[in-house]
Amino acid sequence: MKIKIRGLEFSYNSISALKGVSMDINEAEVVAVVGPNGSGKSTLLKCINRILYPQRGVVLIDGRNINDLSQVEIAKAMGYVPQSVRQLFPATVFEVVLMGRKPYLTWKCSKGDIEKVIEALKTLNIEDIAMRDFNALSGGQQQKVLIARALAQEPEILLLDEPTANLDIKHQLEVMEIIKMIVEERKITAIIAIHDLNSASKYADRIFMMKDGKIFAVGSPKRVLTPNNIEKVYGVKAEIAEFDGRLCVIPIKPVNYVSSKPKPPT
Amino acid sequence: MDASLIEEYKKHTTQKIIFIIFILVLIVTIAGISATLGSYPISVSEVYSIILKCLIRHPENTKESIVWNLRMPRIILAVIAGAGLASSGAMTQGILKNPLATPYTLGISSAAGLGAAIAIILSKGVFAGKYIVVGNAFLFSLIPTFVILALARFKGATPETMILAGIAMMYVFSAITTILMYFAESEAVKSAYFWMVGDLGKAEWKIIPIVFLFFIIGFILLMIKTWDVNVMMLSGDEVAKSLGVNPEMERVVVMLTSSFITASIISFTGTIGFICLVAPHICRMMIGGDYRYLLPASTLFGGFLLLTCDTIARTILAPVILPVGVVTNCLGGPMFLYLLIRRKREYW
Repeated sequence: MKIKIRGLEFSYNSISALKGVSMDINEAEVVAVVGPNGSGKSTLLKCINRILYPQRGVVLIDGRNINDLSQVEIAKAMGYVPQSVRQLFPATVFEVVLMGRKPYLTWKCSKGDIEKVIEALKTLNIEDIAMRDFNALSGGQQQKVLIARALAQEPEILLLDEPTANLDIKHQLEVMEIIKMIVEERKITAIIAIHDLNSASKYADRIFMMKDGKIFAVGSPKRVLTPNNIEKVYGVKAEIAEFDGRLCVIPIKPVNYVSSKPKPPT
Repeated sequence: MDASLIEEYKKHTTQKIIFIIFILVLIVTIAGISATLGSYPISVSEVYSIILKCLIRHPENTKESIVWNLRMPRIILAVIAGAGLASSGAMTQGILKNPLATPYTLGISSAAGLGAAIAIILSKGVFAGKYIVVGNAFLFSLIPTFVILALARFKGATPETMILAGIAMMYVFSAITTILMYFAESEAVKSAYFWMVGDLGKAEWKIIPIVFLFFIIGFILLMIKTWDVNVMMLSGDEVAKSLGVNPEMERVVVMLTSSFITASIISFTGTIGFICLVAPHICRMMIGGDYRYLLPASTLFGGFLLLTCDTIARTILAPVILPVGVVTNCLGGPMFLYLLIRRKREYW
């Protein structure tokens, strides 16, 4: 599905988080949204699937304004993977993923629903832990379960809010590979809010760099991840190295930072 | 792998259904036993033939009248009241994601208590009809619900706000009741106090249809909401929205339904404690938190629990009949503590 966003504005009790964001996202594209803490990445994702109601602006998916769609219709089109995994009420992995079928369920859950859940578990390669308690899993496994739940929704757009935060490097790579694979196989669109610039440059087709609730730069990783942009947006001096055909961001030091030497004892 | 996973899921489901059927059988059994117990000795076979007979025609002698007009309504009311309290307790806990939340925590019990106390203490002579007490208790018990709904309307319906508002109202209503009692005559205070303990002594055929109607409509509504509550329990509000559920609205609907069920019951029985808190927890320990099974299981278990407690209340100190509220508290507390100690895994 194509997404078109125009002039999105959102504020939390008069503290404005989005100040006129416009984006065009193509089908079957991995888009990374990067930016410092508080730049509006999460808010943007939540406005796209109407978890939050933007005060101004429109979100169109395939030309349809999401304000004309019901919450259930949106849930069928977009899957959302939240940022932090809080301790859930005790439930098995299977039960958690089954919730992804909610938009399609009336009361009875059919054999087809069960099969969709198993398919999602298999895609994430976690079917062997299906009957385990979600809370007993590691952070990496939990993240996979949450992605599986979003997949069980059969969405055409995946919204992921920092899917690799708090994961070890192996799980980071696994999760990103899985997302990339899903996008390619199912021709869906993934919008990923992410802090890790190196992951973004490796896996994203395009990067949207945000600053203070606005889009600061858009384009291929090469175009967006420049020392100049990083300094302006993050306030960090960085060098960009090229390794094996992709970019690596090497942060050097914060701009205007005076390192404080311990005073000699007087 | 595929087949075995489906098998395992089905096995879990079957276990839950067996548990539900088991409780259903228990209820019927206990009801049968309960009907034979009491200060007037009637044998088991007699009781059953009387019940069968009275299904088609009116009772003719004392024995038949005792079984049909005294014991049966009480048994049925016990089951419905227990079921209603447990179902609203289960759903309130789920919707507010709080193991302590029940309609009582939302202030319903103390409001009903105040309503009853006002009716008992202020109405003398002409107005002392028992239905005044029932009606007043019912009306008052809906006040906290509507206050909370108003709060939700203007301030947003987060679970924390709802619970805190409920507890605040609980204190207010209790305080007003205490002031009322402080200045009332001792006889009135005594009966108001006993009303608040809760018992099934007012059971009669006339009130069964009213209570049942509230219960069954409410229960069906709650059953429809079980998927939404599942989603809300297993994810935060934001994720729930992304799955097509409107958490704020669901909270309001479920709370309103639970309140009506509870109010319709306790205005007849007084505030019977503990069932709405304990029955859902015990079932959760047995079959887990999936509300599609947990709600019917808790509902039946509540019916079973209250019926058992009432049977004990009627017989343990016979001919004295204890108020069932005392028995539920005395038995429910230790039993719940025991289960908390015994449980093998986290269930909340």
